[in-house]
Formats: sequence, structure tokens, C-alpha cells
Amino acid sequence: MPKILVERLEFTYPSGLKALKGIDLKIENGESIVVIGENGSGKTTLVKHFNGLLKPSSGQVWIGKKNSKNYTTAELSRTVGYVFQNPENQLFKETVREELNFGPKNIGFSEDKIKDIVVKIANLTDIYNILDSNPRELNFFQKQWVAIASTLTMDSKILILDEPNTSQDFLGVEKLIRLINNLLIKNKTLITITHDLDFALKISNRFIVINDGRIVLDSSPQNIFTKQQELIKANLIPPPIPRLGISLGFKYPPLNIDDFVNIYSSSQ
Amino acid sequence: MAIKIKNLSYSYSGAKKETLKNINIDIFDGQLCGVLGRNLAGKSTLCYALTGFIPHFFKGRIKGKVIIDNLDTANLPLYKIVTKAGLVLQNPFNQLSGEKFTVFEEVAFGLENLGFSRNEMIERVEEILKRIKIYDLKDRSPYNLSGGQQQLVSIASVLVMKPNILVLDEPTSQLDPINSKLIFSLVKELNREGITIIIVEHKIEEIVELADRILLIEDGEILLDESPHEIFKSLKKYEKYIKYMRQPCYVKLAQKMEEEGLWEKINGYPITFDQAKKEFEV
Repeated sequence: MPKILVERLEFTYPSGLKALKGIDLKIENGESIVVIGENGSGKTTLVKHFNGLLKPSSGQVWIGKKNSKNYTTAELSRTVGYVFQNPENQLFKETVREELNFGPKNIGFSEDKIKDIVVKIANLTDIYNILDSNPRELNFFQKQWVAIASTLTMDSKILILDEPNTSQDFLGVEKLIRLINNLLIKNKTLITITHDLDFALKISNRFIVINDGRIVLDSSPQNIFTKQQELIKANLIPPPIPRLGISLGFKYPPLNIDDFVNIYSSSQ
Repeated sequence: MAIKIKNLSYSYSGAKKETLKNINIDIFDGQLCGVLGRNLAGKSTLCYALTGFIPHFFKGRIKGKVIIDNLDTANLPLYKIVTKAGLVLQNPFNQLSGEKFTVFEEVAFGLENLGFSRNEMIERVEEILKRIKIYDLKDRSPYNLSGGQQQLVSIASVLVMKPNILVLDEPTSQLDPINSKLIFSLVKELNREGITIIIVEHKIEEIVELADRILLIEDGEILLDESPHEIFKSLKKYEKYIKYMRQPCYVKLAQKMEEEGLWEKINGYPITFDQAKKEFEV
């Protein structure tokens, strides 16, 4: 059974804005997909359906055997962890430690298990030295890590990351890539929204392109980078190395430097 | 000269450590400076100092001076500074006034505070909304927009003040690739019109293409102040800074091509897309 199944999903905001116009999507256990598309295309609206923050105006969203409309967000959050785009919306405790304790406490983990998992996750996300800080006094990129960590402590099977790398420097992005690949080894299912296609390439082999509330492409990055017209319509540009390869007339878009060098030397 | 920073050191109230340490920079009229550096290096703090938020908004301990248009920012009230040097914040959620119900009103907010006439206000706001292509959002609530759209609104609300100096702190971090390009080309265009620009940005490929001067900050100090081409001319020169900034991918690619004997360096490594295309064209 797929982890997430979306059938003919439509969603209209109370303001009348129709954000999703018929989405069909199947995400299997252990998959890592990225959702890309222009600002305002419906990416966040879509993923908010996966933990019940939004309920379909029509159509269905299944999380395993659960139809999202019959469950609350609190119930679904045991299975689906959600890291918000803006960490300020997610952090409300006095210390980072309390923030990390909050989720697992709510879903009934034992004291010992919470202690263990908090230490483990704080080390993994490199925030151990700020555990006693007030989240509001941290820098934006640190808040982003605290938001990620406080979701990871719930050990949910599915994880949604909404633009997790927006304020990270290059070392932070590398750390995030390691973390995500680590989660994939543990067979977690990951859904990441990002505008950084270079980052996307390093965490996923399945790109979902959303444009104006519809999925316009669902394929491997290599295939997607050749669809110039659809990309332009969705406000996307392939990252530098694939773009360079395409403009030099390579047979297929190189995904990284080694790829580029191989294609280049074989065409010599 | 647009900006002169003289022996500037700064620490936030209550902080033991200095966030900026004895900074000396002269930024000339019409320059486009890219600021690079890791998280916590002091980039945003420098932006606050360049636009008067330090010392007027953030108190703390300050030594030295920031001079804009020959005036010491410490002696100039913030409402006067904002018409000379505008700051686009890293997080658009913090830039919104919290008092306005539409994008149009939000962008007009600064002008309203300075007592502009109604007609001039409308004219300026419409012009800027069209220019950055968010005119169709004008009646929407700034709070019901996507993160990227909010970022465009916050850029509009600064540009509408027509400052001669524009400081942007990671203005494209939440934008899709085309909207990022739009902001970068807008920055370039504004610079061509004579506006002095200081832009903090992690997207190194974009910044080396855009800027005529790169400032690298680490631990509150300026570590490097040079043209992008000079920095990446030779690997040896760059090696010292490898911990503090990423190499543009074209430079990395060229090094690999060089190693494999597929390419020979004559004029230094390519740092932009166009240079790379030219170098590797068969």
C-alpha cells in the first residue's frame, strides 16, 4: 500500500482562491520526492493535506489506510511530521529543550525514551549547545534547525519539509543533505518543498512540478530538465550544471560535475 | 562616496562577544557589493549598521562610525535614513507592518508615514508593483500570500522610498528560480541607474556574476575584499577561504575538466554561466 495516496484532490480557500485543481499522486514507502513550482502555485497547500492541516474541498487524501478527512491533525501527526516554512509559526516554548520534548510527550512517549531521543536528535541536528536557549532569541537559520529537530523527535514515518534550506549557508545545506539521506536509510518517507534544484538533486530522484494547482510533471530530474517549456511555465530553471550541459547540446542533461565530465569526454 | 565605515565594532545588548570587529570599508557611489559569509558571521548585523537600524533600533555597544552621504548615521534620525538607505530584511514576515490589509496599502505604508501626497503615493506604489510584477496582488492581504510573494512585497515596500543605497539581506532565499532571476536583474538595473547596492546572498553563482566587489565576512571581520574574478583566478589564492565560502560550480567544474586533461586554463577559471559556456564550447 502506498504511504500517501491523493485522488482528484481539489481545494478552495475560504477567500474563494482555488489553490488545487485536481491532484492525483501516489507516494510509496521510503520514497523521497521533491515538490517544485513557482511561488503561489499550491505546493504548501498540497502538503498541508498530508497531515490534515487542510481537508479536501473534494477528492481524497489517504495516509496509509487513513482517510485524512476522518482524522485530526493531532492524530495524523503521529505518522506525518511537518516542518513549516516559517519556523516562527512552529516555535512557542521557553527553551529549545522544551520545544523538542513537546511532540513526543504529546504522543505519549515514556520519560526515558524522550530523554534519549532529544539528546540523539539534538546531536544529529547540531543544536545541543543551544538546548537551554530561548527559541525566540535565536537566528532564523537556528530556528529552522530547532523546528526540524522538534519534528524529528516524534520519529514519524513520513516527514514533510517545507523549504527547509532557505536560510542555511553552504555548510548548513550539506548538513541537511546528510540528515535527509540518513532518514532515507531508515526507510522514512520524505516530501520536500524547495526552490533550490541543486539541493533537490542531492536528496531525490523524483520531482513533482506543480503549476497553478495542478501536477504538470512527475518524473526523474534528468527527464524534467529536458522539458524546457513546462519548466518555464512553472517559473523554473534547471540548476547551473544541467543548464550548461543543455546549452552545450549534450545528449542528456548532466546532473552533476562528474556526469558533465563523462558526457563531455565521450563526445570528444 | 556612498558609505564610509570607520573602525566599526558592535555588540548586541547583553552579548559578551562583539558581532562586528573593527570594520573599515569605503563603498563608492554606484558600486554593487556582494557580501558572503557563513551563518552568524555578522552579515545581517552589518546590514543593520549600514541602514541606521544600529544604533537607532538595536542599541548595544557601538564603537566607530557609519557615514552615509557625509552624514553620521548616529546623528541622523531613522526616518531620514530610510530615504537614503533602504533595507530589505532576510525574513519578509518581519518586514510587514502588521497594520495594513492590502498589499497596496502595505507598500504605501512608508510613504504615508513621511507625509507624501495621495497622488504621488498612488503613482509610486503602482509603478513599483508593476515593475516587480506583483500588481495583480495589490488587493490581496499581505498575510495570505506565499512566502515568496511576501518577499516581493517587502522588496517593493523598500524600493518605493527610492533610496540611493539599497541593502538586501538574502532577498531571494524564498523565491523560485525565475522570481530570483527577476530580483537579480532588478538589482542590476537599479545599479545601472546609479543606486549603490549591498547584497547578502548565499547563491554564489549569482553573486559573482552580479557584483563588482565581494566582501567575505567571518566572525565579525572582513576577511576578503576583492573582485570576483580575482578571488577565483587561482586555486591557491582561494584555498585560504574554502572553509568560509563555497566555490562557484563553474570553477569546480573547470578544475575537474583541467584534472582530466579536457580543458586548459588560460584566463583563470570561468565564474559565470556565459564564461563557462564559452570555455567549454566545442
